[in-house]
Amino acid sequence: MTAGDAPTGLAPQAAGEGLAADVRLRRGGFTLDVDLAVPPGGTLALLGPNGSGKSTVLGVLAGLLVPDTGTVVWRGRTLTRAPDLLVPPAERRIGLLGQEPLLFPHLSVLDNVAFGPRSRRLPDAAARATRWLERLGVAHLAQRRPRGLSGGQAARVALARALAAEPEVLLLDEPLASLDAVAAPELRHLLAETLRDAGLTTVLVSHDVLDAALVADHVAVLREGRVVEHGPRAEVLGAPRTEFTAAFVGVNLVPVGFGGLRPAAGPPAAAVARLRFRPAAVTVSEQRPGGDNTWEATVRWLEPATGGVRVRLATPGQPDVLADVDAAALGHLRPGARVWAHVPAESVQALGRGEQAACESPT
Amino acid sequence: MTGAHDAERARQRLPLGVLVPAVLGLVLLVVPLLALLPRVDWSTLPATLLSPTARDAVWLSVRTAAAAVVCCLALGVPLALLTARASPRVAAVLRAVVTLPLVLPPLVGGVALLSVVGRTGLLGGVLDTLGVTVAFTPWAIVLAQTFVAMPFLVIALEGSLRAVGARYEAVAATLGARRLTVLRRVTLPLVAPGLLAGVVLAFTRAIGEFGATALVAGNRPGVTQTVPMAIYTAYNGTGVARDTALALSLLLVAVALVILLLVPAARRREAL
Repeated sequence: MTAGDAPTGLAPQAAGEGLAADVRLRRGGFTLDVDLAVPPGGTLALLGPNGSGKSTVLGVLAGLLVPDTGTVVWRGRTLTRAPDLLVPPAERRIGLLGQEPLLFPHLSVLDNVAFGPRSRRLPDAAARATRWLERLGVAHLAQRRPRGLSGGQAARVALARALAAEPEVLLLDEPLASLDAVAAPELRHLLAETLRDAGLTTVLVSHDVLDAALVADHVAVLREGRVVEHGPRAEVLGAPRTEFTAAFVGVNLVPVGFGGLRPAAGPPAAAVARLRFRPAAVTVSEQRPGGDNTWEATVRWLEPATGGVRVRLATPGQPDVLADVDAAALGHLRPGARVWAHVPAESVQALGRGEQAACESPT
Repeated sequence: MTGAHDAERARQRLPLGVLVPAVLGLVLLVVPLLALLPRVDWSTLPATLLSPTARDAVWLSVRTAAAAVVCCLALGVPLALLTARASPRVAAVLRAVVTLPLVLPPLVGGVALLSVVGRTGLLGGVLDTLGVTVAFTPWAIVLAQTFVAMPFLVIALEGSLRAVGARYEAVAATLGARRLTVLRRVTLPLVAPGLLAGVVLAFTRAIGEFGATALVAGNRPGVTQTVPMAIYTAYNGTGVARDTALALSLLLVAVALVILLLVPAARRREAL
């Protein structure tokens, strides 16, 4: 990031003090072009679909991948300046915890966790390892081999191993992806708690909004190798400004004029470009209800949602709209059914044209 | 009945067109070895194996093969690492070069080695002025055995290195381990089974080496007469010592068989 650039949702000094990456990399048909910053002690969640370049960003930060051009800077120290300067991963103090625990199969749990302290020649490596195993509730497994561990146990040991190496920055690449429905929520909370206590600067890659909501204070959304939104968590998740992010976090974002919708308040009608509303605000019925803010749609599909059913509604020539419906009120809703949808005006937020322009041209 | 069970039964029911040649192949491999047994004079076997000629040959073979394995490790492990981490094109060339001694007649290897270390060979003059003689000494045996055995070690190890992949090494690096530490504490332990297989194959190949050794080292009893040389001499030379040839042959077959059966068992135990 050069001095003339506008800050991307962060305090300007944050980039200089914390972790900053401004890199471009081409691999086959894929191009990564990102400019990201995390303040010291902050947690950035990198969201995006598969193939959007999230893991590639982590590889560049860790020093495992060399970008074609660009720099990675941590606390004023340049770690990567492509193509000639590359501080080796072992000298970066940037830890990486991936989707798979990748515990060394030939070492006991204790020796796995002590691997980092030993490699960094820290005193009392075994004692450090034991302390981390205790903190993560797996000290009783110290003498076991990784082969016999459950997914949740292995994930805890892998986290202990990453933290015992005393990194200054921790990169998490979907650390919960390989866990089952019981182990994942447990570890998610443990992770959030541990990261808060450790005070580490963290970059978390996920395709799960919940991870970002629990752990991150900043969010960046990646799409096809580019950052499409970047800012404080509440801003990005609470009020998505691109259709892509809206779909990602499960919020409806439609162009003005959609279904004859009118917001209760907001900028003057001529300045409004998009309308935003939550799936829970949408009611779906088989008979046409009275009143405004009502449109006809086709049920595309149904999927389970907490306490009910999420319905995806298709309207010709328009983006799909999500509606959360009570399971009891489902009635005869089936894919292909013609239905009427309604949103109360006070639940519709209006987005001005300027706002839209700002978010449709990333960086 | 489970699906897996069905699949197993289907696998057992191979067509006759496969089964018959498979059994014939087995017969071809096993029957000649079994045919050794009735020809062995079991009453004199211990005495034959303990005769000075046989003892010298066995001891020389064991020492030279062990030295050859050490050489294979010292040179072959780095070569396997180089091949496994090379770009695909370079790796293909390296693999072809490494495999060459495996497919060449060992006699050709012997001629080639002689043209390097022989008196008139490439390095013969240099070695002569240094007062070092390689050809027709036990060192020549080690050289010949290393030449023919190293491909086994490199190929077995390279396969393991590729299977393990670079992911564990990347994790180790982010934990602060420098490259040599990664190699010592992660890469080599992970490929230990492949390394063990490579060592065993290299040792058995080295101990049975004949063709290249015959040309580079000769066949002097007590100096360069390894077990295969002793077998050859006993059978072909004067024709009076067939018992020695048969006894030593049986010994080589037994040693190879035991090693080849024990190693997979050890690897299975390790995998548990």
